[in-house]
Amino acid sequence: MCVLRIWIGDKMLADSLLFKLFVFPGTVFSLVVVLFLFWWWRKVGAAIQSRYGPKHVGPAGTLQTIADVVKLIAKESIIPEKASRWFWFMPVFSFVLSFLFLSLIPFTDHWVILDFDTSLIMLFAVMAIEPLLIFLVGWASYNKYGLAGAERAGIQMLAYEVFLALTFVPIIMLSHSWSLVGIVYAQGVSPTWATPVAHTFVNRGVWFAVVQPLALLLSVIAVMMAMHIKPFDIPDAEPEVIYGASTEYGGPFYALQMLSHFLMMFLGSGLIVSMFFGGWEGPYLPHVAWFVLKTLTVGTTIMFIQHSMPRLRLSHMMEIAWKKLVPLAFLNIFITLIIMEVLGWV
Amino acid sequence: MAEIEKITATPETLVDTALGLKKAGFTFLEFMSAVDYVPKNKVEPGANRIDAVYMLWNPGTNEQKMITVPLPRDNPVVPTVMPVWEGANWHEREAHELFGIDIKGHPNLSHLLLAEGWNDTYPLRKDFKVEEVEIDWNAPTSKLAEGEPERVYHFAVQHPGAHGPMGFDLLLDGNRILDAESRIGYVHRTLEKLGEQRNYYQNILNMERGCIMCGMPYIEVWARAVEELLGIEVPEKAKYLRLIAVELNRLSSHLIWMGPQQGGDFSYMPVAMWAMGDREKVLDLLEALTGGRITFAYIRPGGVRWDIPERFREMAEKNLRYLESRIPVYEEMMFKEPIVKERLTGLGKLTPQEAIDIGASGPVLRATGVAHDTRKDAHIPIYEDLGFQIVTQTAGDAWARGMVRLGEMKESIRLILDALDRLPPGNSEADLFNRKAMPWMKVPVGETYAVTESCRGRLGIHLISDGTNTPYRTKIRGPSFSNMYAVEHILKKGSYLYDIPVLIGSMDVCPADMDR
Amino acid sequence: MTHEVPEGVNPRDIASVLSWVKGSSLWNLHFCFGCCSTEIAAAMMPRFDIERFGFAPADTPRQADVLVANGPIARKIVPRIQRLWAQMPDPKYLVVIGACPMSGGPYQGSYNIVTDIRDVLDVEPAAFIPGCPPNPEGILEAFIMLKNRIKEGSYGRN
Repeated sequence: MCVLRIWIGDKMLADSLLFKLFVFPGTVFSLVVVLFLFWWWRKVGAAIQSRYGPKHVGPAGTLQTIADVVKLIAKESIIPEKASRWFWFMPVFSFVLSFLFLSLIPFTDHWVILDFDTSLIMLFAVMAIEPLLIFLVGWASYNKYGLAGAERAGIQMLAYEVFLALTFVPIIMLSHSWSLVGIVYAQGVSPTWATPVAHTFVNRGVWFAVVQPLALLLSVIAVMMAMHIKPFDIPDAEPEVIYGASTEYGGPFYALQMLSHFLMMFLGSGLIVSMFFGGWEGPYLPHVAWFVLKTLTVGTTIMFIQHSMPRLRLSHMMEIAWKKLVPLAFLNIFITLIIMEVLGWV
Repeated sequence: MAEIEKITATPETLVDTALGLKKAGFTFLEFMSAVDYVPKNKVEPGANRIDAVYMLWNPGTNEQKMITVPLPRDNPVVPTVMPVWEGANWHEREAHELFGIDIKGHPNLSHLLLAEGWNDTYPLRKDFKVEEVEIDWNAPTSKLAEGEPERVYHFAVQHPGAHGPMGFDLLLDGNRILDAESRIGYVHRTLEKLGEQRNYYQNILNMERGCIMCGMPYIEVWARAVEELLGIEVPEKAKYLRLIAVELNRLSSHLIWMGPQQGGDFSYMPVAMWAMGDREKVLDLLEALTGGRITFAYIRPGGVRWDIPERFREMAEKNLRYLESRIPVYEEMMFKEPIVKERLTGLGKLTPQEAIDIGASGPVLRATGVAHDTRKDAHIPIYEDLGFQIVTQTAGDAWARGMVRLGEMKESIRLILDALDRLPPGNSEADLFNRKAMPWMKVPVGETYAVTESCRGRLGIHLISDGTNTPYRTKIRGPSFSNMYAVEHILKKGSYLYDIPVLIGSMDVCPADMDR
Repeated sequence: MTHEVPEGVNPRDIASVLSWVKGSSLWNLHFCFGCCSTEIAAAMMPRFDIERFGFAPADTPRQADVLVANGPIARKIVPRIQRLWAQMPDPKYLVVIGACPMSGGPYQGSYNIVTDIRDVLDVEPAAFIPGCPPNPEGILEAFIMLKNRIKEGSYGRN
């Protein structure tokens, strides 16, 4: 905590953008989170599969991820001769993109890097670029399996984009706000500081998970589809396309992609927490700790689903997305209208 | 099995003879191969020819017949019998590359098991010299997209979805398969040629490695073939022990099928891991009985090597009852799970006629509704005494094949426990093996074809002995050879990329079994 | 077997930290030449679980560190082995499991088997584990031998 109270001139260090960008919730924190999440993901998966998972590298295997990442960085980076000159650029850019995503997620209304009144729209834009990036990664690698994985990422994007947007519509309807901080405020969470950005919102006083259980379920599915998490990890389907778009990437490039994948998993869960579980609200502990705890809980639930389900067939996923999920999302919007009428919420 | 009925034909009369036999009910071509009779051979002294051999089976009357076509060694030519039995496709390719028999009218005589650039030397001929082999490593490997090798999608060898070193070269349009060509032969360890170099006991180790996951039926059928030629009987207790060993191996093979093979196709890790963990219990039993987990050398011509150890019965009871309680769990998780059910239902549908025509056997055949199991057909000892039931389904698709294997697992558990209950007493050597079959024995001149039901299908060994202590010809009819052809047949009808691993998994193709 | 940060790792000495890192995170290429791959699969499954030590499977050669020669080397597969080895980035290691890649195993005398992996790949393997097939414990032993040799610095280019 002491680092947060360092004063430089007449401004607190912790208020500075640089601190937020590089330490918390920026680079350092995201690296720590990713290192933790990768280990946690392997442990959860191993527990479901009646195994131990990493155990001997560091106490209970906690140093395993560091060993993996350092080993990957220390490897020779191979760039195929015929690969596009954007080969090395793509993994870097995808890491930057996930960093942009990170900037938009409010850990609290103070601990957020980019806060403005239409941040949700920017979030959608970032999430929409991501599959295009995966496509470019697969295309740039000049590799059949990469291209096959890239095509699948494109097809999957067609399946979930509309659905993703539709699941968030009821939340926007309820909260009257297009910014994530505003959505958290709309759930009855009191501000932790006087934010300089003016958020328009209507305070409903209740977590949206209570009022919108169907939207919660649908948005978890939508986030899993967007982050390519099983049962929707069709672009990285090993038995079908070796490793999908990243087949040709090894060494440091793969390390970057691995890190950005887990960061996105964390951030997707963070998005769900902001929209349904009241963001940073909670007694006794510091607000940030509550946000991180809730995100990890949602993330663990997603991991449980991931590790215990088989993978969908591509055509089946497309069918489910358009024949079942999109109508459900519309139905949910309709139900929200009715609830709002009944409760007298304007 | 009794003497095989042989019918001689000439290249000109072959197709008509084949058609006549097919009409008479011999709809299943077990294999097509050849035997090379050199002048100095002891089977038919003075003969100097290559015999093309077609082994046929009549599923209706359970009869076995063999067509032999004597051919001159310098220019052996036969017409293709593909119009009669489609499954002859690959058998003829193999006979062409290994014996040099030219097949007239065959659509594609490129190398199947040998490397693509293998020169014109024929390994299974008796006058073959390995020094004469030269391989042109620049020979084109794929006939698809000639001139544009980059368009070919290699779903083979190192591909995790190909279940081993085998696979297909594909021409794709997005996820749709336009054309498919098999790529097999990466585990061709020449068991048949080695069979001629090893004596009858050394061949136990040779034959056992015919299939990694399912070695016990191989040595069981080998032992029966040798006993047939020796004309000896196996002691009663040994018959029971053989059944126990084979069924334990079948259990472990089906568990590895359900786990990493079919479960791994969907990256369905819980099933994959749990099935392999449960398989360890079966491997514990196998290790207690034979000393090995994957390779056993337990069954020998004449009997078996050891008796069951102490407390085997309790261990078997405990482990197998545990497995029995797990089968409903797997049924729930795999075959009733909506995602898996959606992926398996309707996939790779075969009609009974198609399956028999291709030569597919085992769960693949039984899933189409044909109630044939070689354990009953070949009257393998003890199975019928224990009331063996054949498990069938009717849908003919991947889901049905899975359910057949699940049913077979239940049946195997029951058979093992019943056999242990009824195990004859006595633990002297005479109860375990017949001393007339000893390691350096010479087997009198003869020819036999022994069949059994391996975990993957109908396994046969065509054994010709020449009075010495090494066989003259050991032809292995591996079930996965025809089952993989069934996969190619289905892919050529139009399929999708995401279906290939599931198809190969549902046919339970073992590359070792296929390439021998 | 416990493998906490071993005494030999001096955090100030980058080379020893790097060898510890490389030994703790060995990813083997999923490439099955033959029979022994069943035991390698069994080694990753519940009873033996080599992931405890950091050994995980990799599907594409670009992400793999270890090529496990695990079966008979048929002539047809030789160019594929060489190509996959070339595709693996440095530092990479070779481990020989089973009797076949070291001497042909039970298939000696066959016309289609290459008897020594060193004729195919010009690299010295870090471990030879005989058996037909060796137990999963034997396969674990191979990885531990490789890890120790990396730690000692007696293998591979760093």
